[in-house]
Amino acid sequence: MSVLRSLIVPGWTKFIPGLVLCIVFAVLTMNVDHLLGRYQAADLASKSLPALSAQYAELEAIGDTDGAAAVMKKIDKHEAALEKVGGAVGGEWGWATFLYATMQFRYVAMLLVFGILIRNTVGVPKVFLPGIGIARPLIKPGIIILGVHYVWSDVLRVGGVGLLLASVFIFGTAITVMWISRRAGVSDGLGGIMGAGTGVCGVSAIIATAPVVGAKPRDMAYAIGTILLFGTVMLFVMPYLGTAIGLSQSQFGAWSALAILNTAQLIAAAEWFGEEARDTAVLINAARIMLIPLIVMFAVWFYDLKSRGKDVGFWATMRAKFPIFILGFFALILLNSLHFHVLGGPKIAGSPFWAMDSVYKWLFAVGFAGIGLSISIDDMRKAGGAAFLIGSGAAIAKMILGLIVVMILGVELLKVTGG
Amino acid sequence: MERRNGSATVFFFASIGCVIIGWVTLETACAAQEGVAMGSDTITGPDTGAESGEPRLSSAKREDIWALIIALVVLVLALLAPDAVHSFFKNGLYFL
Repeated sequence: MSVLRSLIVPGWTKFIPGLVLCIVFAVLTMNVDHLLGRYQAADLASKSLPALSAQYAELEAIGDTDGAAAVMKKIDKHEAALEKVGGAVGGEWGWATFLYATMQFRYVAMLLVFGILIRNTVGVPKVFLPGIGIARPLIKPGIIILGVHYVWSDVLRVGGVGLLLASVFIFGTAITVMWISRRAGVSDGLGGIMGAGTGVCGVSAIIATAPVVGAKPRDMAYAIGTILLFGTVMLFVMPYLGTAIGLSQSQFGAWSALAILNTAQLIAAAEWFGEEARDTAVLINAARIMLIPLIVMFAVWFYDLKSRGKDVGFWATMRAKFPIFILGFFALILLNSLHFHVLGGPKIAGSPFWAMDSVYKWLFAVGFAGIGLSISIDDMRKAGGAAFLIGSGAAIAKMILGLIVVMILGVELLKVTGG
Repeated sequence: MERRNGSATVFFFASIGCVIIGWVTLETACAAQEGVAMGSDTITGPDTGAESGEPRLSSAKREDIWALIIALVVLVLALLAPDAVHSFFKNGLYFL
């Protein structure tokens, strides 16, 4: 009973204003995204219809009925797009194409950019801050629901590769950062959480490792500041970098899951790049975050904490640090893989999984609104000193090595099929 | 009739899933109450419940359990009224 009571935080009403603000911000932004998408589709239709009409006439003339029917389908689709904005052939909506297609300025980018601008210019009144803090974890139920996009063969193939890559990168980074930190005279507390933070998934790993390595609140502020600063920069740089390099969707998803440290930020970056990228990133991230208890155990071994009288048993740590929400994600993958007729699938209209598939984006949107509104430049200034240089250096090295590995692995091994 | 049998099967598996998840949750919560501090995706640190004098779940575990509850509610709603859920999230929330 006390566990159930623990689900409700005392004074929970303080979360309402900020949560409502994030929901309103998300709904408005999703609507702007929707509108921009409609004008971009209309611009494409306006430019494509004359050529398609000519092609249709040509196919009709030579008697190719199948070809003509296929072209007519495209014409109908484009005419519907024009009708939605009340436009006609010849209309110009190049601005929408530039923003939506060329710059990829979609709901993820809008929520982050406008959120950061609002937080750091006009500011966010204190009454909203607690609620903004709890909006970000709404990404977790979104991740669980995203389980309907996968089948077990994806988990074994992509998740297996992801687990292997994540293990190598996590422990490689953690060992390097902890060792260099020790050589540079950084305290065990700060070096330990920087190693865990740059190795696994940022803030979660820092908070999980902090009590074990005895990190001070100031150390946590430094480490979290470094991780968030790096993640925020990468969040905006990587999607454009991925496009410039010519990475495929699945390669970008794997790269972001290896390089960006914070779960919410990596999902935002991958979603920004595209839906296939997001599917790969979520699966590799699921493999990655399951390793959090192991990184805590590694910190225990590295800093020889047992000899200092710390009670940190293997199974107790596994039970305490394991991110249990990921079990829900795997439960939905299992249900999707069993192909229950009554559950259908994300592409089977009228089925429960098809309905669930329409929900996750809204949970992500509220979570991204929380990220944008919580990124404070003042908080990031807390990053500094030798730990910042070591952490950033390791994170950049991981990003470059991750890019090389995903380019070598290719597309097929990292692609989520969804069955 | 076939659909009803299918529903029963799904509810059966969903119930087993709930029991397993519930058990793991309570097990983990008990571990939390044994005094092991845990991580969170939020910047706020572990909630030890010091102010209430009673051991409490950490913020990370609380987030995880709420995430499972929200996903379960969405699953149940999608099972009961898939069209209504889809229509609300795909059309109802868009007004521009």
